[in-house]
Amino acid sequence: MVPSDSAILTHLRRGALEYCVLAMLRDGPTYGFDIARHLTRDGVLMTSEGTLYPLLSRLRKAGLVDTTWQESTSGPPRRYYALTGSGAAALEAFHRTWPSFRDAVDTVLSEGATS
Amino acid sequence: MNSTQHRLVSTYLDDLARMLADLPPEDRAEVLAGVREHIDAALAERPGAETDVQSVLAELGPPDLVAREAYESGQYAVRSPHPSPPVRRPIADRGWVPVTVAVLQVLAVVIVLLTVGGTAAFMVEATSTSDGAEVVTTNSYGGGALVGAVTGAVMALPLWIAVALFVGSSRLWVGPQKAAHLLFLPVTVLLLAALPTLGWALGGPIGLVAASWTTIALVVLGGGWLLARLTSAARRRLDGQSLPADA
Repeated sequence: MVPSDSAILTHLRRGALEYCVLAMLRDGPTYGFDIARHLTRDGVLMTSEGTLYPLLSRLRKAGLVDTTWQESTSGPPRRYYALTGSGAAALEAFHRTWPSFRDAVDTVLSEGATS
Repeated sequence: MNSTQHRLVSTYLDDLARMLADLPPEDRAEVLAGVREHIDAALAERPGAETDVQSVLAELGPPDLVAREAYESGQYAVRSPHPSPPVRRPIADRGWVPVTVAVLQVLAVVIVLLTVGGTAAFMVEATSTSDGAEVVTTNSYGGGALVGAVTGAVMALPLWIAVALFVGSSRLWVGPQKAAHLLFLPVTVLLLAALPTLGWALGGPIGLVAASWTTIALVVLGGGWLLARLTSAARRRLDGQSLPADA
């Protein structure tokens, strides 16, 4: 059976999406809604905004993300997500590893076994 | 939000809450709170018609998709530190069992040794004070070792039963090792009873002394070696965590 495009994407996201969420928090505490909007913008990294929240919950339990409440101009205080020390370290490690993985896949896809 | 919009949102959240029912309560509350806030924020951005609520909910994705994500945490690189409560090992497979079994075995052997030695000494003393004749003393020695060994075996029986219960139900030892543990005490008793008697029959008083010391050396050194092997085998299996599926 040939996997569909969306099935392939689902599998590829498994290893990368949580680091993309961490990357969203790099410049400071971020609102969940803003993270979701960024990640779903191109429909590649995330298709359903709701799936962000189980992911954030998991990252918080793993100690990579912290939650804080900040006053909002409209309505009740909002829950913001921020990187912890180990979250920043995990993001940095992924950032270091990812280009070589991406390049290796690109090379294999474009050249096959010819080189 | 008007009442129709409100109903759509609460239906969505109720569905999601129901699908998350198997999560730990704290996790469920966290996911639901995040989604609820998300809906509020999205609606605050585009105040208006019922279609907005529908599109906000559509962008969130169907509740079962969100729930599936919540249950699929095991497939990711980053996992929560305590995904499930650790499974308790059966008592006989715990870390303290090998050493405990070895201590019980040593205690049992000490009891048997003391009983045999005590009985023999008592025989010597009893006969020599009543008769004062050395021949009579040694004559009853062989029988003394036998009686002492049997008495010692009876006294050590509770310890042997404890060892058998631990070793029998534990997965830390495999078949031959279990047999070695179970036979250890009976064989020791047998040696203590038989060898001095044999020494007496073959070599008289000198044979008895030689056989007795040989037996003690055999029990202490050989038994110690065997117990050390069995205990370290069990501890290696503990460290490797590679317990065979069935005992």
